[in-house]
Amino acid sequence: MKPMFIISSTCISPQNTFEGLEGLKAVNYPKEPVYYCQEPDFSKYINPVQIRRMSRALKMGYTAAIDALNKSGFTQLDAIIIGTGKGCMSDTEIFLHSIVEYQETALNATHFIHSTYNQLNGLIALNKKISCYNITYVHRGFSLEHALLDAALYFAEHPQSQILVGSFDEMTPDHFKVKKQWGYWKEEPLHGQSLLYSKTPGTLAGEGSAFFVLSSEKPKEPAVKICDIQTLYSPESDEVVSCLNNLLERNQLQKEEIDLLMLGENGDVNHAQNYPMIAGQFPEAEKIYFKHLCGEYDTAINFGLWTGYEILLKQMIPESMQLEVRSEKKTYRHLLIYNNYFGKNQGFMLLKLEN
Amino acid sequence: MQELTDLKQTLKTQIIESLNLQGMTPDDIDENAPLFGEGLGLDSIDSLELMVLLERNYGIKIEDAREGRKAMESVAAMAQYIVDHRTK
Amino acid sequence: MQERLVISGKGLYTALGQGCEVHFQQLSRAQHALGPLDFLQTNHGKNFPFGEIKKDTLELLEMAHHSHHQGYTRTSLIGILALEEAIRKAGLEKRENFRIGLINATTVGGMCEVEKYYFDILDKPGDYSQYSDTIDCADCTHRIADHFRIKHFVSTISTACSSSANAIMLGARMLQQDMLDIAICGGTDALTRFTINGFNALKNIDKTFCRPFDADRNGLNLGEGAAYLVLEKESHCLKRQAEPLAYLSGFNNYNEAFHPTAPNPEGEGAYQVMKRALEHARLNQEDIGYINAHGTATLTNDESESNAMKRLFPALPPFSSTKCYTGHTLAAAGAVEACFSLMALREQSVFANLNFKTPMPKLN
Repeated sequence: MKPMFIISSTCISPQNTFEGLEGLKAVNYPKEPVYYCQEPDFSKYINPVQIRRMSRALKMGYTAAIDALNKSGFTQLDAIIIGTGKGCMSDTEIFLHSIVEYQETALNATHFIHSTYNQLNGLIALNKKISCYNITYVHRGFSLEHALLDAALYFAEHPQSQILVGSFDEMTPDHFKVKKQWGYWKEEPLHGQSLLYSKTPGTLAGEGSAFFVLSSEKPKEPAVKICDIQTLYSPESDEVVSCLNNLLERNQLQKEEIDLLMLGENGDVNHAQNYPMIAGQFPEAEKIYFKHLCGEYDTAINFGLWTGYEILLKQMIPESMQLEVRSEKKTYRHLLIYNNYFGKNQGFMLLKLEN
Repeated sequence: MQELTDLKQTLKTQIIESLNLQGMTPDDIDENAPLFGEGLGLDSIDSLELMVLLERNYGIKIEDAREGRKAMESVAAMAQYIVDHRTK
Repeated sequence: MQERLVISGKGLYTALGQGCEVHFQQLSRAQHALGPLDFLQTNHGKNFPFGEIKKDTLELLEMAHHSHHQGYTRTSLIGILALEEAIRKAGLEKRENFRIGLINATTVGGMCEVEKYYFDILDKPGDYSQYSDTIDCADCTHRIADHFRIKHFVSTISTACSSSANAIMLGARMLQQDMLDIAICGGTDALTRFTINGFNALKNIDKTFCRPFDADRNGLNLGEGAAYLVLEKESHCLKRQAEPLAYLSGFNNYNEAFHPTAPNPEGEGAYQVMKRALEHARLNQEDIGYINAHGTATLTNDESESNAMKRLFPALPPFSSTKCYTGHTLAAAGAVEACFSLMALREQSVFANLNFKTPMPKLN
């Protein structure tokens, strides 16, 4: 895979991440088993005509994208690539409700338009007047991974490019309720470590959006590089291990060189099986967790990628992300993320700090 | 005459509500100013929503988007169109 | 110089019928498949013509050899049936250890079933709960991948009407970068009350048969369908002794950033993608023998596309829209029409643009 450097990024999540990694010092915990985002002042990013029609998902996605783009200083892009598991779910739900309520007559088209999964892609291009490659991946726990893979493909074809990649998903009351019936969520909002150690079925629902401006050229200052991404569809446990070994081999890395291992554990005992096995492969690495801070959703990996990037850049791990804190401080160079989205969508992401 | 004045006032409130024009009051809308482009600055998606407003509240069904645009030039034009075409 | 990519299989299922042969027959005889709905429950079933596949979902289940109560949606089933043909035609039933990718596209996934039971699903668990996780785009892709035991790479793209065209492009690019040996690309969308009411709210549906590129056109007709192409490198295809049907030599994706729902009337987006696809393929305008246009028959789309074609081609080659046969199959449209274009090339015939009487005044 063609490596890519993260030039800038923004994350809107249930924590105060919009302000940067510092925002994780004081942790917000939910009162119900569902996390909702801390919302920045959207009106600073979205004009009044548009904001009145936009759902929360669209506002979060748009604001994260524009803020990341502003920080990069780029005014033009060569590609806008977005992943979302459910798109603007609330618009889909409102339109479904209104079809029944108004018996298929006199319906507002707005919610239908916004229910289209590539709505955010179009809006960013339209408002920023950026005509370029533009695509949306909608594949549950692979949505952001495949958006990033497409960016890597694009860099392989057009090395001198600047690409905006990101993802967004929202949790809605309807969607929470449907998944609750299937035992996706815990009965109580377990906090922090008690969620990760719970050994009971279900997790916390969550939502969020993160965007990244990428370039294949390293900036002058130290930067974080996305070295590799591998997705695994419905793998057996031995396939996960052999995939991991291949990934390390093709990146010419020994297991000891992985300084930080980030695990997508969500406290759901039904989908925890591969995590201890992966953790066991890296006894030396410090383990970092994130889903107790953002909840579980299709593109929750965006919270992981964003915090992983910030941790490498700032060489600082927020206390809330570790179960045990190591005393010796060393340089963190390689960070590996392993995520398992309900068994069917699993994968690895390898990040590296380059000076 | 009073009826038309009342209708215009009601219509302004309905427009603000259905288009979610946050922070606006009926008095902020000039009944003769264009709703689209200049004036209130509405767009083509709003015009679809206004057609829904006419159908749901006044039983007026506009099939042709172009006729819709004409009927919705301003609040005054819209009120007159309602008087001429309403079924409820 | 990159190695050439070939298309080695195609599979189709639309209102015109199941399989490529029946499609070619009907297209050649100028026989469309639009009419009132028989299966989908909506108040609009008799108001507009639709391209509905004339099988109910139980029949489709049987055809795909799946049993009821397991959450197979109409979208998944027509996808499975179309993809089965593509795999068979490509001679891929026995696959050895190829790295096969499935790149699927859909706009509303399992909405066709979810919308029937949405309020029941919200209320309490029941038999309909089999569909509760099918509302997104990935469900049908997972079902199709599992049916054919495709594991190496599985993805879904959703970019409205360009979805499956983008799926084909991604497959081609992944082959060029040696990430796959075989890419199976396409899309599937079933008719839903959701999309019918959405397009109706946009005032985009013609009450009569749609009239692409006609001066009096007044909107689109909706359809349903699925189509897939099998792509691979030429050497890979020849090595496994399969027959290349055509080369895939150029493509492009470009967002014109004009309006949320309407195209630029000058056709900037369509012009740019056609121009760039030709450049990618290293072809000139005069090399093109037929253009299968998007041609939805909405007022704005056809004006925009006509202007784009006129701008790009000094001498306009024959062009037509085939939406008047199948209806607009949304996410599947790109792959459906790629299959039609393959037939046009292989059989050296172009398909008539039905219901065309009056040229647009500005376009002679």
